[in-house]
Amino acid sequence: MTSATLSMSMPCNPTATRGRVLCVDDEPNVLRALHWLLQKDFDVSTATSGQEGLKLVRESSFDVVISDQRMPEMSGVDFLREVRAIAPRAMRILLTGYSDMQAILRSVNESEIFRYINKPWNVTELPKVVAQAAEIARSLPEVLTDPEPLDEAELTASAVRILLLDDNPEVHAQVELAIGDCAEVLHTTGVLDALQQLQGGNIGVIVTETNVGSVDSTRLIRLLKQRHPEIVTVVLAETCGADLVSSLINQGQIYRFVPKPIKAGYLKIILRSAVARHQQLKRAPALLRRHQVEAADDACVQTLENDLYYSANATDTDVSENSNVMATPLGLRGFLKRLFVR
Amino acid sequence: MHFRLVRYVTLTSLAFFLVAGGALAYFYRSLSIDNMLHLQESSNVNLTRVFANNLWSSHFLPLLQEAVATAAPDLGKNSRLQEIHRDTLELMRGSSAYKIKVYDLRGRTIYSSELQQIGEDKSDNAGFLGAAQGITKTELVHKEKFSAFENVVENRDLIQSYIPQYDPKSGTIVGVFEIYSDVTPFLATIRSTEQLLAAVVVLAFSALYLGLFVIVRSAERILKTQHRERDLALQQLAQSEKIASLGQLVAGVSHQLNTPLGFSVSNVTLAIEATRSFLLPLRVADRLAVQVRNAPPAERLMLNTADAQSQLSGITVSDKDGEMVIEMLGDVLQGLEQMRELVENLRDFTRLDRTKVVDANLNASLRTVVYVAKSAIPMRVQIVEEYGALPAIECNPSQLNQVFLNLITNAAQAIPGEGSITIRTAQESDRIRIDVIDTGAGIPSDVLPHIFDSYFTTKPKGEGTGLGLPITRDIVHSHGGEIAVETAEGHGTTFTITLPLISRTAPGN
Repeated sequence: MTSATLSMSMPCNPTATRGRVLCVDDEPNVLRALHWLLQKDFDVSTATSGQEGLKLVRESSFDVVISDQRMPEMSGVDFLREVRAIAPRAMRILLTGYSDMQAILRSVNESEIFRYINKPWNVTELPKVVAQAAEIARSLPEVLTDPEPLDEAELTASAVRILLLDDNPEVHAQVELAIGDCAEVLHTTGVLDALQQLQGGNIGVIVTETNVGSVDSTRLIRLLKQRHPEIVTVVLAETCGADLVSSLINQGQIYRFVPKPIKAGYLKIILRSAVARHQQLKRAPALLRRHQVEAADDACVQTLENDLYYSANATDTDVSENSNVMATPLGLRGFLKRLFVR
Repeated sequence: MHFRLVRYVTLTSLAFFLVAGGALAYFYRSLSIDNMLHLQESSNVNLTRVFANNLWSSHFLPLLQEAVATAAPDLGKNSRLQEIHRDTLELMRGSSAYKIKVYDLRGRTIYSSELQQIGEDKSDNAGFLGAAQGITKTELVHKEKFSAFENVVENRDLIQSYIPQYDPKSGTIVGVFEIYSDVTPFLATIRSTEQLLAAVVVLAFSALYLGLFVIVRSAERILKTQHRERDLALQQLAQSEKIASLGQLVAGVSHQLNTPLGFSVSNVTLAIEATRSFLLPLRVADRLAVQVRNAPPAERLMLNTADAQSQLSGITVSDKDGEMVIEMLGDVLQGLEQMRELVENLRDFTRLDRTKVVDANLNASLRTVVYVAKSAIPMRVQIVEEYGALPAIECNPSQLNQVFLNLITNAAQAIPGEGSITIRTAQESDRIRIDVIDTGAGIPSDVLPHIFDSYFTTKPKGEGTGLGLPITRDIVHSHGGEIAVETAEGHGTTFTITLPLISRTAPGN
């Protein structure tokens, strides 16, 4: 079954225009299954390759594009990157049973995907995610183009504050070198530290490691994004499991992912571009919706709180210095709640 | 190959000691004897000089002159002889000289302290001839029985010298002295020293050997232990490498399962929903059928629309929906078939449920390996299979599968972008030949000599154990086969495995 016959064989819902979805996968069985699943609520088109998909994208406008990663000739990430260039309004979803780390990182950095979904997909969840994406695409016709990285004058003028969270002093030196002369960099080495700085407000960009000390800082990112979506996140990591990255995409909508060891030139460009993106978001806050995240659950808050409590108890000096942050679990919970819960 | 360290050291040492000891003894002996000869020779010469100084002009010169005219048998009858003999004895008493003889230039004994020897002809004696030319000749002799000056002695070592006698006035040689001096005690000393030396040397060498033996023995013991430990360690590493590669494989294959799982679950869920929506229409159809069956054969059937309205208004199903469900479930069957095939190939690959050594056709093994390998390598790399007809051979397919997978994954890793891996098999007389050809970056010439070294890897730290190829080679060798590699930088690499049709070594482990 080609995509043309599929879309013509199904009756169109006579109500007002529905979301238009394009599915791309080299396996026809998958395309049929997706079509059957989504055709109740959307107008579904399908393609069996990246090239075929690009042809359809050029011909008509879609709200959501869903693609598999592992395809011959053109991979999903490459395809979605092209889609972003041709039709930036479409929300991009990567659907895959294959976790190739390189591909996932590139999907963040190059294709700016909205969601990363593993096969087998959840039959009740997938239509909801597609609906959410379609709604955003249709309500926000303007898009954020890739911002031009700011030059030094613009950076200094922006008076943006960058929060850096990493326990390796070398990284602090590198970031300082890359951007320290044009923007204020707040150096922190522990999550408690970072939380304190966040309270101070007016942070534009967070640059963070995935693991700081023994605390998983990605939970911080995910919780933060719900409360402060205008903060642009850049994640540094030496090694990162596929699970972690996919949750960073889905719940953190991180802007860029920088693998370690960090190349100086690359870091400079990324940081400047992150600040530029922050400016864009500030000027047009409605566009934040394009980066809406999945809600992080209570369990996330609980685990983060546990981590912080244990690490606070492990280092006495932290506790005494951060007198704002109460060392008792109850106080911590309250603090976190204030920071993250709407 | 077992290197018998102790045995070799012992044999070498023994040979060395024998040769050295023998050489030492020989040289000592000849040196000492030479020394002694020289000493005694000068001593003899001195003795004869003394002798000559005292007795020559008075006794021997006239004797010589008279002897010229005398015939040999008559020489003993010379009247001077008694006096000469007596004076000679007198002079020689207490010295080490045991016998003195005087020859004239014709070689006849004109005087001997053993009187009956007077008149003997020594003209063809080498010593005499030499002395007659002016060369003093000395040698060491051993006499069982010897008549010395005053008595007969037995079992003596003597130095015998032929000394030319010069006429004091004219300086020409007029006669030859033969003098015997006793060196038995000297020789005895030499012999006993020699024996002592020999004993000391033997003792020293034995001590040396014992020391060496102890060291070498412990060295051999250490080597044996190390060898055993190394074997054990290699075995364990081979096992963990196998598990690691199997793990990678399982991960790749299980990801592949996600695709058929995905659409199967999705389709079945939708099919259930759809079927649920068919229940009401089915009930209605059934009810209608019952009514039609039970009604009298009339042309029209009356239907109470008010009653039916509420029920029937809920039905929105069409033909297409039923067909859709059938299609969906058909896809699910396909998906299940895909999953079954995947599991079967994985099971064939690991062969956990079968005996280890069997007759196997390697083309079938390779097909299984290629199937599972496809999920472990990027899609930009194509695998081309070119199989020739192969007979079954006795082998351990589980191990060979590991080998083939290792070569294929290495080949895939060598290809930076688009590329292909060609697997070719053929039978060549008494062997099977398998080539794995890739269009990758090739192996640099400084890396090539090390590719089979244990733990050698060009991957970044943490990735790869560096054991894949060494283990591959071990497995090939244990099947009695060979593995070779050809490479061209920038073009690609070819690994060639040859296996004998009849295995010579037992491949089980």
